[in-house]
Amino acid sequence: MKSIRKLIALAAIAALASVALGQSVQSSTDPSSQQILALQVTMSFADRVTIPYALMVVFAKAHVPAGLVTISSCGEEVAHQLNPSGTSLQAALDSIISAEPSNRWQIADGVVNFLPAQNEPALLNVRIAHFELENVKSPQYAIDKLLSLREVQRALVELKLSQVPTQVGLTDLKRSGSEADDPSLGFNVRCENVTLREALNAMVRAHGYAVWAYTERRCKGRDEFRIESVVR
Amino acid sequence: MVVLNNPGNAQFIVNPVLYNLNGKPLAVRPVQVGPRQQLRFDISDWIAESGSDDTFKQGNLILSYDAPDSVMLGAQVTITNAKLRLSFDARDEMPMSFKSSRLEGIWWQPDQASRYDLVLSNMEDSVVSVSISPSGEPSTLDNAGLSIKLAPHETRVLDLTDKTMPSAKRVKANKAAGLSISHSAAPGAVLAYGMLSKNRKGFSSQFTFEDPATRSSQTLAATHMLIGKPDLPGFPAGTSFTSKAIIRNAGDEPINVIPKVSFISHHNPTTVSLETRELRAQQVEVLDVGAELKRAGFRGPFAGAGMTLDSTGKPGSLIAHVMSFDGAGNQVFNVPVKDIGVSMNRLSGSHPWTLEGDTRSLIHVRNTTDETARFTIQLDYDGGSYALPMQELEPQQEVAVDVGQLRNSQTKDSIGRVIPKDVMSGQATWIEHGPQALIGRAEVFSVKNAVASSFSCPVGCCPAGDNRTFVFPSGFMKGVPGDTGLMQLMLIRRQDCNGQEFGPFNVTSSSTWSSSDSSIVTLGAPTSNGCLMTCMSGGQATVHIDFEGVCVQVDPFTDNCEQLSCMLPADCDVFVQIPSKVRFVDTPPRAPDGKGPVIEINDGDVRDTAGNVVKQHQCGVYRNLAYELVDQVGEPITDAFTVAESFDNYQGPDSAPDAVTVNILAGHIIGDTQYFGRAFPACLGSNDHQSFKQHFSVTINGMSYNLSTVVTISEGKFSGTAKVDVDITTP
Repeated sequence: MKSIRKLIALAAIAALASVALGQSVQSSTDPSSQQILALQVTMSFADRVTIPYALMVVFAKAHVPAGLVTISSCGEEVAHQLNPSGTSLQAALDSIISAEPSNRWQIADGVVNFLPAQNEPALLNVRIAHFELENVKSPQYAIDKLLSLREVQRALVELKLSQVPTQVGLTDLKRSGSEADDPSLGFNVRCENVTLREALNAMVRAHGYAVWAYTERRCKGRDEFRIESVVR
Repeated sequence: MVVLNNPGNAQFIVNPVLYNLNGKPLAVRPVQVGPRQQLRFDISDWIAESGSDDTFKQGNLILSYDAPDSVMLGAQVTITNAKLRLSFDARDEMPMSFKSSRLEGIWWQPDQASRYDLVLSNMEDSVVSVSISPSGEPSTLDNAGLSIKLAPHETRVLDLTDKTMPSAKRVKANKAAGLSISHSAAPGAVLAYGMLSKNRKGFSSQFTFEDPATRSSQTLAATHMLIGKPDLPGFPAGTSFTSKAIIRNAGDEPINVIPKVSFISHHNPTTVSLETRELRAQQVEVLDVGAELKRAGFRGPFAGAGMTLDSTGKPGSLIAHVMSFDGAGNQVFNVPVKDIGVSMNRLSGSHPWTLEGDTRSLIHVRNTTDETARFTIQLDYDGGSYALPMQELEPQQEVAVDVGQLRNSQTKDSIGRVIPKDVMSGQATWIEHGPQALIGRAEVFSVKNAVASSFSCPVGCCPAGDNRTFVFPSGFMKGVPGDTGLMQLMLIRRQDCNGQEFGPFNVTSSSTWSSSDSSIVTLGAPTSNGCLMTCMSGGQATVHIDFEGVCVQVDPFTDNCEQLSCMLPADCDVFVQIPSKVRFVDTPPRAPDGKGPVIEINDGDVRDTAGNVVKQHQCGVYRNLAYELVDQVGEPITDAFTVAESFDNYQGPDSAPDAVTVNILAGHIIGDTQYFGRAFPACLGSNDHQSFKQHFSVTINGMSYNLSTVVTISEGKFSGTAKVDVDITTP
């Protein structure tokens, strides 16, 4: 009995530690992180929603660059009723974490990441020697370019991951007859010796408010993934 | 330097004739004065152009012109000696404005070193006898009087401090006396003014002489005195000013004078009544305003200081001279004293201003009443106008408008106009709003040259009345719930009896605002920045605005101006849009009528609706689409919004596409690229296709709206044929 109690205590400590991992960044004294966490986002969902959808809405409302990682197995995604205690981005993130405590969030150089508390997808840790694009108009285009890098393609083979085709989807478009496209509207991204996640973060940071979403599905022995720009 | 100022909207020719001291005429070239134009001429240039002899050093000037109204022309001569740092202003006079052949003035002798010159000009073609009688306390004056004859158009400059003068009776040092002038000709035939100077110090001040019969009230007022530390910019640190008010009872009966000084000190508007003065007939008293305030317990700093002198006795008994000067006696500001009962002084004013060199121009307007007053100021310059919002003045308070500061800071007026940086001169017109009693003047000065002028030109006719109101920006206003950026201004245009328009003036905060339906639109507190409207829910509401204006009409029997209260309304319709659906919108060349051609690629690029390459080395089929967001009545919504798509009823080899959220900028539309394919070298099979239903929701101002539109999409290869069928199945 004693050992069982002890194990429970350890589990509680582990759970606290995982939460603390997210909160350690949340309590960062970095002023820019504090400003991001204070951004006002009214998160109000009448119905139950999936976590990726809730995050997409929250990040879009906060107008903040972000990335999110979702790992699922066979079956439908779980939907939650989310009731944040406040109107800040931090309150929204805390609400989502409390719904799915196996995740954590962190802020790195102005980009918010929502990640599994443990076992981050190996693909996102693949190191990239050099990545550079200029005047990019579409975040999805930059993602496709990243995924076509030799290091990434090699890792996909090693990890036995298959890529699900991605859509193009919606874009912001100038009305016909309005002023010509401003060529400066594109963004540039350049990074060296970084992980794939860091490169994705660099890309959304350069864009300003884009959000990348990594979705990995492990079902019936087949691992497939897609990386999409879900806010653009 | 002569300044000609036309406050009206007529154009006319002015014919100037100069007369030298002996009355010899010199006609100079005519001058055309345009509407609301102010012109400056150097009189020495006029003389040089006319090739005259060197006797034209002093004299007088007659300006003749044909205009709809005599007050269409205001003129002032500023006599400046830059070397001696002396400056005198000689204002124009209208012969018809005099009612008697008597002029009353003040003679002040601040010390032994000062000199007082009395200038007398005969404006007629015949000889005039003039009698000059000093008056005052026996202790200050040994009065003998002086009689002279002035030849036609002759100007005589009498140094009253010259001991060799026949009368040789001087005011003693630091004493003041009165000067009474009477002449044998018609009223207005003789003009006079006094010039007080101290050459070595650059001290100069001109003393006006007025016909007491033209006065109509017992109250005199002066705007903007300098007391202690100056509230004007540009003076060296430590500069301190003294203000003197010299009051004289020019009547035959004793009078009481109550001096009131108003100012702002430490942001507090204050009015102080100084000790009442009892003046015997012809008695003169010099008040040191700063010292009086100190005795009353006020030590400053004093900003926006003005003075009101209420008196008993007949109108015209009290005359006064007010001036401010620094400790060195170098910087001297004359402060014109005006009878607030004379309508020409208090209804409105049009004053020339200049910003040449280091010259500064401030427009001072003072409320001489014990009630809150309102007024408008417009600045005109060659090629444009600038109107300040309607301003409110607390009782006895004044305001200064720094023209240079407005120009240099490029401050926008109510409708976004600025005074161009290269504008150097113009006209300032202030108009009271309602039957009040305001006085105003332009103070034009150069600290570097130690010269200052004051311009107080009346507008004439009746003050401009409120003519029409309108809202700005005009037209139908649209917004979506949560929009708080709809700002509306209430503006008025004013028109005087000559048909001249002024404005538009911002009267937003002086107007009453109401919404016909506060469940649709609510209103914030109106300020000079506008009235903020907040869109609450879908529908149409009317915002009604009432402004209690002043309409002016001329009494046909008395020719008096009647200012009547009149309600001037304006309406503004606001439509609150609810995001309801999307529809195809013509977006050539990639999405004409909202739908582009079906494009099949084999190791090719996918280009989105804007033409950007979004995927490379692809094999499949795609089609570009363009949608616009519309409201409940089908009108486009041009606010920025976030659109999210979602999918159901997916059928195909992959999984349903991920939902995507896109920020759409204000005025933009939604592009959609429907692509189904594989990264080359993989390709679609001859019967690989997918179908699904696409739904949209948008978020604006934190509020989300599910759109009714459902788009059914079927795309891919169908028996080897590439298709992308897109249909709005639910509008």
